[in-house]
Amino acid sequence: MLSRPTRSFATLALFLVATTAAAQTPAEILAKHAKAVDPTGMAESIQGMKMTANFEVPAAGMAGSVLLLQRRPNQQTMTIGIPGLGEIRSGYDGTTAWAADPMQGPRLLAGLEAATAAEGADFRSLTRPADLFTAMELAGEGDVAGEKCVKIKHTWKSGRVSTDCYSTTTWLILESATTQSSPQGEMQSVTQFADYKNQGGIMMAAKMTVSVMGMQQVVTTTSVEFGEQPATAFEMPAEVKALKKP
Amino acid sequence: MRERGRWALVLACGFACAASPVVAQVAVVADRATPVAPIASFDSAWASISRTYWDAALLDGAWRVARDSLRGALGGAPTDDAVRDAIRALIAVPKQSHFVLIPASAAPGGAKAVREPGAAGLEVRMIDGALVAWRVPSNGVAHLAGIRAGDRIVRIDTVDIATLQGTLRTAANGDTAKADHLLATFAGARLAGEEGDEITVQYMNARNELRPVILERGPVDGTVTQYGNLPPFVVRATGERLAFAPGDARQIAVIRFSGWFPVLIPTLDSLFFASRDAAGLIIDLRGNPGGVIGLIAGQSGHVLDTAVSLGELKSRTGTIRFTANPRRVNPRGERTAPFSGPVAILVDEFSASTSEFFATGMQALGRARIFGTRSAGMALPAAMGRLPNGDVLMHVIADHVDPKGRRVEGVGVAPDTPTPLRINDLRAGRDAALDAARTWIASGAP
Repeated sequence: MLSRPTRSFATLALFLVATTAAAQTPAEILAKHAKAVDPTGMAESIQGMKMTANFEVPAAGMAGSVLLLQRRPNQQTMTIGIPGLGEIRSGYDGTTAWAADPMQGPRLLAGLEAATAAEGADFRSLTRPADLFTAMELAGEGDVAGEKCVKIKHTWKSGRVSTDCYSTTTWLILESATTQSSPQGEMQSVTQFADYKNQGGIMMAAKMTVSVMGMQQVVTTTSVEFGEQPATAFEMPAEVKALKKP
Repeated sequence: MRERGRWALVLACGFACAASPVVAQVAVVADRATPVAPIASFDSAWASISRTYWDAALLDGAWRVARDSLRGALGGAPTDDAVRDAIRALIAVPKQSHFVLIPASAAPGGAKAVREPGAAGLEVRMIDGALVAWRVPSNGVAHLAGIRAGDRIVRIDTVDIATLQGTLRTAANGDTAKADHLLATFAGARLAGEEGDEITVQYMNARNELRPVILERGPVDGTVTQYGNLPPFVVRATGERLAFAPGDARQIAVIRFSGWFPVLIPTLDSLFFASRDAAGLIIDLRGNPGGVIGLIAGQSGHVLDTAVSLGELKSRTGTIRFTANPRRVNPRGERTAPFSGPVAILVDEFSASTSEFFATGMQALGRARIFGTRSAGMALPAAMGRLPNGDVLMHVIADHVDPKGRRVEGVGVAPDTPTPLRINDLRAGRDAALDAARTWIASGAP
């Protein structure tokens, strides 16, 4: 049993620990996050990225692969290949956001869905500069898998809102909660980031678990390569291009 | 990897299934106990449903009571079979479709899962309280053995149909419709099985002659698809053209498909694109038990020119809409317009799940007229996870309403033009629902 002075100090220590993170501003936390992600300041020299990953939905007994390509300043294409389902493709070519999958067919994205896609393609979001957001506010503290984190409610320029929890130990993001919006509706999703690894100088989560409708989708990175990506990789598929014709 | 979101919602639609395994065309064989973590499987089943089921009111009440009662009754070291019984009792609490426990042995990869499905060439329906041969393809095993549409099925192997019907009707407390639906479901499952296996069928023909035949199941007419943890389904999609009337050059496109599964998408897209020049379209969903919900967006876009919603799934964390994606580019990359002519949809008591979402949505939007008989009323989206013992638990994850706010679960889709099956029609080779739909289109689809 602790003596009274010891208990007091312990309480004070806990209070100090608990308030250390909260005493910081969102901008300060983001600065620490940027430093944690890019400790050597090399991110600005990266012109592109190719990432591969495995994909699994345990609740459906499904698995597949992910290929993500990005090119500075704001081009992206992603292909999710799932046996028995086909390829789910999406992208942003710098001006137009699109999607094409066997279930829905080709689509040009619009509204918030398109704005969110463009935002995700912005290469600068790797280190999250403050000008990606129109507002930021502290939103309390959290605990993700036993690790303490501080929450910031971000209002992105697209209008999307996410509440992200930054580790008070590493300042890397542990969890992001947001509402996904698309023609299929609005659905809360919570993404947990884990198993951070140094990928060519950049700290990236090798495991991402997305919870939507109570079902978990697990993405596990298998490779990350930084470097130039060919411009042709970001061209819209023919069936999407045709949608732009009058 | 940084935050990526849009695809997660697309995949949520893609992995949420609305297929009724009880009307799958592939038999599920009796299970064999697999002694792996029995009580953990019960706990896992309860936790999975508690985490995802949409109705908080149920979870706060009867659900917990059932868990405590059933788990308590299991005792300290329950057998696998006892746990399965307890899980089945647990998932019966919500009194809804799409709560199914598929034993590990019958699940994909299981020791007794059907690997080479075979077909007897015989589909059955209930007509006036009798089990009747409904579809008997002329190139199928049953037809070659002498069975014809309209013949009454009296016995399948050792099961006397009248006796089983009596038992089911007694158990159903007077709900004869439910009992007869179960009977037809049972018969369909018994007629399915492994290719090369034999099944004995006794039938009464049009001359009231009782005939026994031995049917050796032949190859299935379609593609066997395995989607995630669902049991295998035999699926096919076909198209044909009907004239408005004899001598009339105007044509109606008919598209039939037996499941909403990705393997059929290329065929379905091809059939729908090829139908654009038709004067009318009939979509035949009779016997279609459902499948992958996500297909609705793309397939409905063949007949809808705006991104309207065919209905909503309401989960605890949000709402998913079946929003049509108008299909304005054909496979050759050419601009085209979705089909704008009259659309008829055929349903019956074995049209379930995704078929019902589609049919009720099209009906509510005023885009299609429904013909046939009331659908199954099994219309809820489900996830399908593995339990620790390897069993697959299908469980509901959201509620469904159509654009008019109507729930189909437990009710079914009511046809605008009811066309009940009649033995005389079958014997004469007439398809009353198809004929009614054709007449409606030919008369200007008022």
